[in-house]
Amino acid sequence: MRASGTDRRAPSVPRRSLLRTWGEALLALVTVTVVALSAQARTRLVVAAASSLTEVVGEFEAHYETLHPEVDVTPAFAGSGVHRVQIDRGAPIDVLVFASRGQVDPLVESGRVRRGDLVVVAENQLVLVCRAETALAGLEDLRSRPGLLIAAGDPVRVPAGEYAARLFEHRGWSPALEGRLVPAENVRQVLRYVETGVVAAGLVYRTDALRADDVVVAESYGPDDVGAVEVVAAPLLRSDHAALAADFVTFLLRPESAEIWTGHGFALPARSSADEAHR
Amino acid sequence: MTASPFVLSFVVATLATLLAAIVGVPFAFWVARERSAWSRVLESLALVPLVVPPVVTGYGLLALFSPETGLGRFVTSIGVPVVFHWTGAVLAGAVVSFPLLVRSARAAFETVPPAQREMAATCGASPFRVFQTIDLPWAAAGIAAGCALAFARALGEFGATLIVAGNLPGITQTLPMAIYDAIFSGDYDQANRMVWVVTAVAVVLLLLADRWERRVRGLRREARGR
Amino acid sequence: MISNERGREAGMIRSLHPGAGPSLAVDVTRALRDFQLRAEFTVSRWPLVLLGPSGSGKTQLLRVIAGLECGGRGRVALDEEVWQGERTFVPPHRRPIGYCSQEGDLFPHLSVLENVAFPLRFRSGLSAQERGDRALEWLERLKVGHLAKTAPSAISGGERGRVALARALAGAPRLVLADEPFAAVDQAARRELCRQVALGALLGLPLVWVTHDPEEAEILGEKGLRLELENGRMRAVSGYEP
Repeated sequence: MRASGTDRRAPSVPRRSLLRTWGEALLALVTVTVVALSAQARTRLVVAAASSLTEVVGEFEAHYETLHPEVDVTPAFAGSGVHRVQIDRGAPIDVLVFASRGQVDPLVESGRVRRGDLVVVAENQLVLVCRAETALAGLEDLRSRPGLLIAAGDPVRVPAGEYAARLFEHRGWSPALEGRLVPAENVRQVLRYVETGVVAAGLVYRTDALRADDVVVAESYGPDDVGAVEVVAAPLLRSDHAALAADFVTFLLRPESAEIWTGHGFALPARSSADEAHR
Repeated sequence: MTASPFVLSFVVATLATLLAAIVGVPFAFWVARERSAWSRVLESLALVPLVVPPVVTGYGLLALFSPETGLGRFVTSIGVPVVFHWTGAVLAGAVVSFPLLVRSARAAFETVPPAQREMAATCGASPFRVFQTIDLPWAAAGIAAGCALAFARALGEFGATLIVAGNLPGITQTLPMAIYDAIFSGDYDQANRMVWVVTAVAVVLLLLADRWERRVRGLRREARGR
Repeated sequence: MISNERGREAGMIRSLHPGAGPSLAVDVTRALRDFQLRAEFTVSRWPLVLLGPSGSGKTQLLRVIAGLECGGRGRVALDEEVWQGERTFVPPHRRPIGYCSQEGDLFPHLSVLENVAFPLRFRSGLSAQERGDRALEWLERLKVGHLAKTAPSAISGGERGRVALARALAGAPRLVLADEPFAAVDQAARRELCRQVALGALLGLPLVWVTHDPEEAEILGEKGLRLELENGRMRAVSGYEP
């Protein structure tokens, strides 16, 4: 039996407040109606592209769609590491355009890409950038000024990071050991660190350095230092639109595409320009 | 179909909240009533998306719904392909916001005094009707608070969505992904605009959630003071 | 028979009273925190008043009859209908009862009228309009018709008791269980309320009325049966003698 008290008020939920609660909840939730999905009339070609290629791939998308109005080129932008996982898990990707071969090799091994299909579509260059007022002469200069930090992509996931690691190895210097290396998720993040002064310098692609307003290129690295920095493309073997995927990759090598590449600061691959010359 | 990140984000977050609520409210009710070891284990499992990195949640969903699995083929055949599709963004949002909704709703269901439920039963209400006529109205404020939190969480969802749904502009590119792209392509004005929208919406939602939570706490105080 | 030793079984009372109403048979043994509740009786003369001091197990017994306590062993039957037996347990919502608790436990999210109409949603095929009319009739019989549109939090303790009783009666139950509906009111007012209510609405109903106040028991049990409980054991019976 419950203890008897003097005040035995029933718990009071003001009725109106409950109604209002529901009203507010509905208002907050049903702010937008569901977008009706129109049937996809055009063939969708999903192009997984490295984040660093956002602008140039966007331009290729527009050009290809003008040539082939029946095709809807749909770029998917993420780090190459993310794309590799997605492709490994069978995500519906038709073409890949990566900033290095490194992320493609595992896909060749797992049978997602045929090695013969892999082509170098453009070349890039690794450069050291800093803000103008930092006035760096190059990597050796940075090395001799303790306390200055350097940012580079994480070599495990970011192609630009792979090249940076190769550069450090080649120069026999490990900024990581000195606690002076700031790893980043992608090249844009490296640039951002440099622009905001979080780090003194960063290793990025020439194409990214050209687009940034507040940084200058302190030093450039050639194939001797880091090997060729290649943009590679390949159709995926299990694509539902294999012919179209192959055609898109060929399109990236066409003479009219060369202008787009160079317009964004890329160099044309020596081999493929030779190939093109034969046609 | 192409949708701006704004429209897509709000549609995705709304549907994700609805999905989380449809599953989460009955689940929270069951957990609040049933105090077995089983329900505790299941509840802990449901809270996992709260503690693991969203990227892991995304990878799990990708592996589960991959077009190369039976489940993936099935969902594709019924028109909900999940992977690289806006429904994947909805699913990812629902999964990561599910724990927030369940926590709020469970706490709200626990405030319902047993005497209220018993009284309804002696009036002839079956357990389901008790749920409908007593538990739901009592827990309404808490469920609404949970929905607000879930919506805010789904709106900001990035990691899991990127992996499952991909960053396909116009198709699965939600606000957080568009912000990410805008920041790192140096388009800070565009990024700022989107950040303002997301922040404003989140602040409003969190204020609402707090207000509704207070209402629940008020009820609990009164119920205890009996 | 009077026995004050804890834990010992009390005397049993059975079918002392021929009556016209339905027959309630209870045979319950149930371990409570401090003592064992032991009750065995069959009644068909109404109302039945359960009298006993606080903590004597009255509420527990009522809850067993209502089906709100499902542990323990025993048998509860109304006429031929077995609500609780060795292998049967009819859940409370399937027992044709009306229950009124000490606190009233009105539903705070519903108006007074909706509270009283509540059982009719499940126990009648009436339309919403008809349910409202029926509920209002009950409120008026208990002299609280003017409160119909009020929120339960805004009414006094005595009013709350009347509304709770109206709700217990509205579903046309075959057995009404009332657990000190006016516990929130002071003694003098409570006795007056009981007198009014007994005359106005409860006369002749199959009703189990729980109270700790002997005088209240007199008022209600005048025409019926009184059963006293102490420490979970039935102690004495008075009322109608054949």
